[in-house]
Amino acid sequence: MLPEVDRIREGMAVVDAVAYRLARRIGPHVELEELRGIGRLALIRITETYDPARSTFAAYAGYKLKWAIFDEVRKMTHARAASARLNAVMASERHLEGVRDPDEGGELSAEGFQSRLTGLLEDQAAALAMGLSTSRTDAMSAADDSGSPEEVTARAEVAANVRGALEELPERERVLVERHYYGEEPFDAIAEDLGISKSWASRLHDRAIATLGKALRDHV
Amino acid sequence: MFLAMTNSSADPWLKAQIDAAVAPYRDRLSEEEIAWMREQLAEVLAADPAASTLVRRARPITVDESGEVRRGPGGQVIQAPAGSNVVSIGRAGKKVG
Repeated sequence: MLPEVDRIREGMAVVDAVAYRLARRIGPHVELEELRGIGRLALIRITETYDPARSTFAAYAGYKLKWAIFDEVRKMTHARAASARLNAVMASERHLEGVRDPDEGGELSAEGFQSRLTGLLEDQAAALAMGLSTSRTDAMSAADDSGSPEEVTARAEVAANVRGALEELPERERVLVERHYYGEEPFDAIAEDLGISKSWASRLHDRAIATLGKALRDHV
Repeated sequence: MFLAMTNSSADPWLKAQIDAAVAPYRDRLSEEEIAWMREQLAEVLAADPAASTLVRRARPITVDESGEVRRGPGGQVIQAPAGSNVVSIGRAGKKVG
């Protein structure tokens, strides 16, 4: 049997797992079956670009499928609130990819594990808050938001804080975040445009999220 | 299909971790958005392999005087009622909380 046929078969299970996980995170505006359909279409392309020397097929397909599904869902999502939540989940997932296995690098004390957990949750919360703020980047978008006048003001303030913190980021981190979350450009394309590898772009992304989170927490 | 509520609401220690993470945003996002953020964080801690390992490593071990760990039906550690003889100890063996 051709290796591609085996990979398609193996990949179908990965499609189901990735679609199920993303359906849980993205929420009710996209059906699980729709995500599966996007994944199946992407899988054909993914089997063609797979290099066995670099990773297992399941790991490669899992990564590629996730971002292929996100990119397609982003194209289909036009409502502002849904789009912001999608950005938030994408930022969260991108950040999670940089989280190391806690058991790597030697035994930590209980306090060490607690500190890492606190840091992870702070960064994840920052990623979600940053994503949510992408729907209200100016006074106009804040003004037609639903909610009480106090809520609208508070939301506009978060958006202004995020934009202010973005301005303070090093150039490449700022460009990466702005173009990906506000300009909705594909992450890999921005990395290529900046002349950096995808893994380095991911590291810059994580650093940007940590800096934004600190700025937002300091603004309380 | 939507994010199912994990058992974080039934786990006071986990709930406290998530509460602390969303606290800076509580007055600046709507209640609905904060609730959504909590669900997302709970999902991350439950479903992401590295995050869930970190939760297991960071969680204080709760034991009573017999040395038994008290767990609920879902396997989560049950917190001791105030004033009981049950104590929580960290992985290093020190009493916490």
